[in-house]
Amino acid sequence: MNEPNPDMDARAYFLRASETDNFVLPRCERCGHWAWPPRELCDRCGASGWRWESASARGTLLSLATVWRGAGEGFQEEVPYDLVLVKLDEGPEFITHAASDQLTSGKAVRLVWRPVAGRPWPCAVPEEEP
Amino acid sequence: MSVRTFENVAICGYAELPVVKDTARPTRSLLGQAVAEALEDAGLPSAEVDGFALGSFTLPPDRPVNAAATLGLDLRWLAPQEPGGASGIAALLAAARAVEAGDAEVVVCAAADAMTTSALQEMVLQFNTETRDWLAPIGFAGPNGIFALLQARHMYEYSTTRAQLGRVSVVQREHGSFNPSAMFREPVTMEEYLNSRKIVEPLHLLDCVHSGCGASALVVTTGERARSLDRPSVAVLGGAERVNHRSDGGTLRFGWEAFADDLYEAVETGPREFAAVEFYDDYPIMVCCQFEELGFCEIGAGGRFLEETNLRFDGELPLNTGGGMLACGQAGAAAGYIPLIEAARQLRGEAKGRQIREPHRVLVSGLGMVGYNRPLTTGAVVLGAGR
Repeated sequence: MNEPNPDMDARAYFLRASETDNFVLPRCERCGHWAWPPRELCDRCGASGWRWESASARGTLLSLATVWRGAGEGFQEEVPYDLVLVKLDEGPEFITHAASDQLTSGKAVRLVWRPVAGRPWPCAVPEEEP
Repeated sequence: MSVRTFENVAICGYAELPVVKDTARPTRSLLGQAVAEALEDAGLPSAEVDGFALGSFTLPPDRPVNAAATLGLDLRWLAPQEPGGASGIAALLAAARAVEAGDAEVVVCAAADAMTTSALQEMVLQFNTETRDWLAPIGFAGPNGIFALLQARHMYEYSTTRAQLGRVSVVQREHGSFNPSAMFREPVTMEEYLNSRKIVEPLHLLDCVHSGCGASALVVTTGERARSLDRPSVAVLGGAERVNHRSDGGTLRFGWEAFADDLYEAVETGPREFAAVEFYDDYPIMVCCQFEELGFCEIGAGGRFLEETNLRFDGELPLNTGGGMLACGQAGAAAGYIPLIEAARQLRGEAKGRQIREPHRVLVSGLGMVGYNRPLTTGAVVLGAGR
């Protein structure tokens, strides 16, 4: 993304990328280190400047857990659903929903925008899935 | 050296309210009862208290200063604690430093929380910025979701099984059956553990703690002062804590690895030489991880270790001899005191029905404050028999 780092809420900016089917992550302006979730200082070089940049939206599934109970308000009707922990190719770990029943630990995945509680969210599917 | 040792610090009193599911009492009322009972146990009047370390999630609108005021404590040392599962250890270490440095002579360490179901639900969604912004909107199911992902990862990477982890729940629920203040007094079988209902798979009901309301307090003072009192005391020998540990070994290491060897060297006691271990047991998988990182077995071998070790109070390595949170419930920040108080109880020979043989030294460990994908605080302390 070539536009300047926006002076807007991080969540709003992250979600706005769904409009262009993009996946963005904060990246350290000084050393290029990627972060998730967004943070104040770079955990590699300590700098405070960040830019949102397009990322690969690819990674490896580290683990999967199925929510049956205690999903919380707005999610009780959705159970069972799968939460996954994805090690992004850029380095950070990302927690999201599985949008496929073909996911297992160790599998290569990519993130695609799918509705979660009625709003788009980057969810995991097998890398080879169209 | 990443650890701190103490020559002359003792726990001279403790109190723990049994955790109840719900209460109309405010947090400060639970706190007041625990502090009064701990001072009575120590045989010290509240006018003698000059230091206070307090952790709580549900104290607002009050702050620790207001708590001191409502308890009538006139202090020269106040240490508000980050609440959470390591807060008891952090509070004790802070108090021990203050006592040894002479900043205070009689310190009350306490935590209290009226964690009703509604208070818990509100807290879980707003636990921190990461939780509020990036997890609550996707139905992450609270700590159950995070720890289910951790457990699933451990099971995948190291072939850990639910039957191995279940040994923690089974032995602790048996220990809880000997503990009159436990929330759950009925033991459970392995079959019941394995077949208990799914919460966030691989976590089932008997992997999870039940939230509730309660309070705990410890009284910490110098060795001389403790010896002048009528009650047996417990020596605080050493400890360490770690915040936001970043491991080279991946995210299944949470902080204890940074100081475990130094701690054992400092107190001249190896992991298998402890009379008992009192660990923070928010989930059996975290007990497994504590055994690994604290050097009882290799990283990844925790499941097999649980399977092969007799963890009963009269076995080779007694674990969570009062039943831990799995049997006693989790009253917010007060839950971080369960391992400490059970260790003190054992070392004073007061653990009726589950007393360990020859209590000499006990290792106490905690973790807390789950962030985006892992707990952010860990700590450990070694306690020894007093006089």
